[in-house]
Amino acid sequence: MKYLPLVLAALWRKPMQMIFTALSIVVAFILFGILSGIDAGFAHQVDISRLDRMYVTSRFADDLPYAYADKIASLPGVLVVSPQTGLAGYYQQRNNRLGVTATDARYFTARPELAVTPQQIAALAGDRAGILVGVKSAKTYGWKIGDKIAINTSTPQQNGSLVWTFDMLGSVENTDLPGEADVLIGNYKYIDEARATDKGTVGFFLVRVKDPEQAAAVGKAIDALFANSSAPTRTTLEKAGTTAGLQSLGDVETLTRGIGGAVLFMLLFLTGNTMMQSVRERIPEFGMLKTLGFSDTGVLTLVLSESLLLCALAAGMGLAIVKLGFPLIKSAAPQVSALLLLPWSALAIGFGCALLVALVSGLIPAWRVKRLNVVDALAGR
Amino acid sequence: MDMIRQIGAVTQSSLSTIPSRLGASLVVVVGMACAVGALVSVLSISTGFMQAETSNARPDRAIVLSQGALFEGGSTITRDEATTINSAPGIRRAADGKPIISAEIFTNFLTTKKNGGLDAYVQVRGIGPEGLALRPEIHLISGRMFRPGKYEVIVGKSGPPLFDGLSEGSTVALPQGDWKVVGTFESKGDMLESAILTDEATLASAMRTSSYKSVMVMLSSPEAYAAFKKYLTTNPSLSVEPMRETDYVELQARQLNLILRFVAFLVGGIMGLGAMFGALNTMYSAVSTRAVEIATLRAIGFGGLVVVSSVIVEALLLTSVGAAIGAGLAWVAFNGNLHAMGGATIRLAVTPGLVAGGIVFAAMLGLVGGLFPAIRAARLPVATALRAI
Repeated sequence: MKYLPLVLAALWRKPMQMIFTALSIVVAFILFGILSGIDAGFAHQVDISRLDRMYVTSRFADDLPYAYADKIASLPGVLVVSPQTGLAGYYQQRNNRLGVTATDARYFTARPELAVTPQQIAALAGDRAGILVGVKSAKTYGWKIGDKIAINTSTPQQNGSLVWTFDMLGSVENTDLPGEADVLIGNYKYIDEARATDKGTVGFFLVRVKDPEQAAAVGKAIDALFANSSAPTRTTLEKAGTTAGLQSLGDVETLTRGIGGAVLFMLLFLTGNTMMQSVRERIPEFGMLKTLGFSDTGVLTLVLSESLLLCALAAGMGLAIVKLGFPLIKSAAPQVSALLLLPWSALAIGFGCALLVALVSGLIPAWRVKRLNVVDALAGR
Repeated sequence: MDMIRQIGAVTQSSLSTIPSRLGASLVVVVGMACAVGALVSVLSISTGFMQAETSNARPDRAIVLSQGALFEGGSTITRDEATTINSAPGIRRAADGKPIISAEIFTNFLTTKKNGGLDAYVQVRGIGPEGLALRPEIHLISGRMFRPGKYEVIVGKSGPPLFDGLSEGSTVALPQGDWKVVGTFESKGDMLESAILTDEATLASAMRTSSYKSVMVMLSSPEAYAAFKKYLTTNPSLSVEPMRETDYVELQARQLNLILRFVAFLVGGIMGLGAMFGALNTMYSAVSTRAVEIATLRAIGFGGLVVVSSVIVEALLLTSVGAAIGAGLAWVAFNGNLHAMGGATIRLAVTPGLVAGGIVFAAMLGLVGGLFPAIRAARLPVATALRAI
């Protein structure tokens, strides 16, 4: 610690050069932080996928008969079966795409992560055209309890109309992804009665089992049950489905790791060069230090401390900027904000990488100083 | 003229000193190579995606969906409606007088990715008898065409390398049992190239469905669209919406394309900024090591502009070389690679335009990175600098 002024003085010897090097490191770690945020967001999606839940869809991307619900529910190990049909459409403008999930109270047993009150469930059951709205959707479109919400769809009602009007009954939060709930939950009974086509069918069933250990076996049993029917099913564990779904954007993990690697490589060159140059220009100074009695290891430590301090300060600043600015990034891209997350662990990994860069880039110049011959150094040779 | 000769001479002399400050110069080259490499790599996904979506889209082709449907999956067109659309004006006719129109349905074939073994759904599209006349871009490259009435399919050429069970001779599990793969087609690299094609009527009877998802038509000319649209939207027995194919694919691709581009420019921009600071650093130190030389030049009558230009040219050169290396690496590593997005595949594309864009981007950063050190070089007080000798 008592050598701190010495290290600081060395760093501040050429302020301009230090500032530019530090700025490079700052922006590099801003990017590194954002990439870690994307990585962590994707990992969180897989994490919150429940092991006791699965999706039963049609093998052939078709609808399934509503009657399957009871048959699946009677299989051993099944806790609840929630039939769901999507009513896809848009609100006011084509770009405001959304979908109403037509289901019933069983939905909330299957998705315990939704914070919903018994009163809300009762209200939904009591109002045929009611919907409960995710907090994010409610905020985006400014919906309040009691509002009539008209949604343009491609599903005709009995009277031929494509516009469905719902009563906003309340908003629900997703405790796994605070602020990101964008579901619209409506009554299957009402929607199925009101629509002109596809009556008595559902898009898929969300099944929750009693014991996660049994999930795979129950999934097999469900598919076996309907294997020889006219509408065979395909049951996907939620975790596997999430992984496959995230991959449909492309291999994001490889991409973020690749770019992160390129960033670190670039930094290695940059700080390495700065340290190298700075040490080269101070050879006589190090000769002097050694003459004054600094040991070989002592000067090595001094040089390494310089690069460590530089990287730690700059990287810390970059990561802090990301942490503070992250809500801004999320609001800039609301469609993907659920995929962005920045836990402290991701920041810690970033900081660790910064220290690694500092050590590697400081090592060669430090070694050079350690091996320095005092006589040659003082002569400036 | 004289000025240009002077700039040339000074630049040449400054470039000749690069070997003695190789490390610092390499920082600029490596930094820009990384930044442009990352930018071009991410943009190659977006470019490949847009090529796959839009390269074959034609203004004289239109897609008809049911009213309010935003995409094919959410659309239903009845048999009666399809018959009515058949008699709409503006549809091109084949040599035998039949309108070139194809009412289509699709389902999905559940398979696994060869890499990683995750589930993937590949689209199986049933096309009408005129479906191939409608898509002249489709060519069979091996095997033979499927026969209507038989459980036979042909597969797009980018499917088999990425997904299991799509090679010729194998069978794909679809409604009513197994369908045989009898041929492979190419479709000039569009999204269809990762799909499976078969006869609509055969698939519809196997799926026990009586309605279509969409109707595609070839128009007699791009201008015929207006009359076609008017007929469809004013006919009371129809509840459908036509869209020109070029507009339709744009609508489908826009959102994902925006996200990809946002990511590319975010990543490339930030890395570029970092590399620019590196360039500033390098050029400042270049100017300070050459201070005596620059002062000498000024003393013997070279103008400030000449000195400024020579520093900027050096910065531009270093950044451009780095950018070319980065773009070149991205091209070698990614151009033409198959990339699976769910059940669809795209071919990453590093186009000459993309490479040129990357180099221009780097040159702009190089300009900034060179400008300030150049100004300092020009302002160097001659007498003080020369006293250092």
